[in-house]
Amino acid sequence: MLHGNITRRLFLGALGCLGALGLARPARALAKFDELRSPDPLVSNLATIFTHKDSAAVIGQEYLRSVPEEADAPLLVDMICSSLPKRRADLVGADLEELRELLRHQQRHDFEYGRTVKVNDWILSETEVRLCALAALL
Amino acid sequence: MLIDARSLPKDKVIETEVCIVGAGAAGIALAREFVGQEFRVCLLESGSLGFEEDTQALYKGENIGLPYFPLHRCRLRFFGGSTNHWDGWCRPLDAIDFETRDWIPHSGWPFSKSHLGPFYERAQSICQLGPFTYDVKFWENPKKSPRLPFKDGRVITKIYQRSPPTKFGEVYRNEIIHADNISTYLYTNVVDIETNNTAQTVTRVRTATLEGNKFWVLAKLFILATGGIENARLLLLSNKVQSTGLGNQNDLVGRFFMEHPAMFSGVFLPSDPHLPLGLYHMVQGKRTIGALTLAEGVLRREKMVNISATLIPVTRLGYYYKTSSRGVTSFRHNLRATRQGGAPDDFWKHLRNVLVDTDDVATAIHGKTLNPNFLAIRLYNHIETTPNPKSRVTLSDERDRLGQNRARLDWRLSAIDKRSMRRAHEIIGQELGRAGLGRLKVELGEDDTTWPSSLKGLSHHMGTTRMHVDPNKGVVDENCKVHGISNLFIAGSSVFPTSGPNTPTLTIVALAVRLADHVKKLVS
Ligand SMILES: Cc1cc2nc3c(=O)[nH]c(=O)nc-3n(C[C@H](O)[C@H](O)[C@H](O)COP(=O)(O)OP(=O)(O)OC[C@H]3O[C@@H](n4cnc5c(N)ncnc54)[C@H](O)[C@@H]3O)c2cc1C
Repeated sequence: MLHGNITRRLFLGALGCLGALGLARPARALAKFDELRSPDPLVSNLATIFTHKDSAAVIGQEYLRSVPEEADAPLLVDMICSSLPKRRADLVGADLEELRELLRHQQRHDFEYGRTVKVNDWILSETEVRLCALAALL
Repeated sequence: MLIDARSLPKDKVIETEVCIVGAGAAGIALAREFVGQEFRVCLLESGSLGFEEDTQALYKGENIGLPYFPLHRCRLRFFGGSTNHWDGWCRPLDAIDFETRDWIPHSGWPFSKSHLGPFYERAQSICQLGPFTYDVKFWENPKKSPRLPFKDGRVITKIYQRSPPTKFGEVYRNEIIHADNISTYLYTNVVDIETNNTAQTVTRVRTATLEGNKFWVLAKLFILATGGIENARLLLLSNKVQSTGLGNQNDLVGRFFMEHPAMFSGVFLPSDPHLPLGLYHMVQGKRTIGALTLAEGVLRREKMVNISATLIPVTRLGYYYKTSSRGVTSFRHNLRATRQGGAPDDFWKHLRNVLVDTDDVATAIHGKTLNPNFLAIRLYNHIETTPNPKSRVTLSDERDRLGQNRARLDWRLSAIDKRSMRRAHEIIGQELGRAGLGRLKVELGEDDTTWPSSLKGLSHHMGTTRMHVDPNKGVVDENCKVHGISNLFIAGSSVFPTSGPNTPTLTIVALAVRLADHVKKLVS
């Protein structure tokens, strides 16, 4: 299981240790994302995958608090894409529906192979929390 | 024949062939099997035909282990025993529960489930259950109430059947009291099991009524059926010849006490609020219920104890979640906003709310906008526990009205129990996600030693006179005869070497019927 268990205690602990750094990171990543937004349509596609982006962002924030090293939009996009069955270049051309279907499939796949993560004790798939994290960085 | 022992002449000696001590599920199942036999039977029962506070107080005891019910509140001391208030849920133990599993110390029964099969079938009708099948296919309605469609069978559904619930003391009373060869003595407390001077043969049992009357029962063969705590207590109290207690030459009597720890252990938030869960719902009058468990292969691979999780819908806000929480307030605010912009139709929305603050918002959304009877599903778990010699019944210094030391219970659990439970939830959570059914929150903490505050037992008292072919490892042998004593047998869940996760009474009755067959052969 990725990153083991992210418990409330760990969240608080991580917050205590990271202090302002933990909160500052997404802001830096956001800057990176802005730079990235226009040249890579895949990123905007991935980032708009949620109908309720606010909800996803909250989950993403929780996740990034405990895994701050992933608070980096290009890194997240890479990680999400690397597990998808299509090459990144092909993904760029994929429409939103196709992308959604691929991601849904990947979520199930994550669960099947135990690639899950606990966020506030909820068992979620790695792909879904990374998508949430991406939403949080916007 | 029904006899009130208070009316017997002082110091009377009664002779019989078979003496059964205790008229609960086990004692009554045994007695019924003996109706019409060529030999005489005495059934000795502490209580009367109804509840009496004075008699019940004899069950008071001490708890020094994990938090547990007061000992006089988790069993009943009158004709019919604890079946006077049981819930009636039944299921045979699973095949794996009988096996010696190298990752579970002290596991293994002297026989397999298939050996008990015919006895389970007889027990099924004694407990007034439905057809003798626990196959999900038989009980599910694929259209209206199908089992959850998990992939690959790592998580499976199992079925419990519900007895009316049979009150053994009421349903079988007439049959027993009208049997010519059976004498039932009420108000009869067995206080000592007397033996010859080598403690190899029981000669008689001494009894006392609360009013001070005493009498003895001499028999060829004695069967203790006083319940999972009291069987051990009575052996420990019978210490005149064998000073550590009868059958206790290897310091095993009272040890390995097992209960089914039961607790709320997780919340399942379905992606589809209309997911049909009828098979799993416990509704008044329903005779079956589905529960989640793991496939044997998973238990073996992961080296876990066996588990059982029932699904309990949270149908009222405030039952579990506090309505005044920040989460609900913000939910209400959000709901107003959502109403203006459309119905909340997205799982992520719910999960977001769950993750923000409390876990109540998602359920509140479901409750307010989709299906008023449906909020979320809580997992209520009961698991097998590892036999633990430190979990035990001993004698307290306090005494009851008859001058007998009360029972002292030190209930303990093991790290593997907690680890198994947590792992089981991770697997269930993964499989729910994989099948697209929803997401699971695990409410068990991360360590192997602490338990949720909702931890309770289910009043299933097991293991204190465990069965093993080797006298160094068990109190009774495979025929439930106490090792080293030629004519003393034990009936009830105190003989279970492992508990399995399933309810015990069907197995108690199956073992009683099996013991009855054995005794019939011995006595005739
Ligand atoms: C609230 C509750 C709900 C339950 N629900 C379920 C369920 O859904 N499914 C399930 O399988 N099980 C359930 N059980 C457990 C079930 O009731 C017991 O497993 C079953 O009754 C045990 O049978 P027994 O004959 O071994 O003991 P008991 O039924 O307890 O009978 C023991 C008898 O021995 C008598 N006795 C005790 N000491 C002496 C003495 N010294 N001398 C003479 N007589 C004595 C007692 O008066 C009593 O009549 C439940 C129990 C409780 C308390």
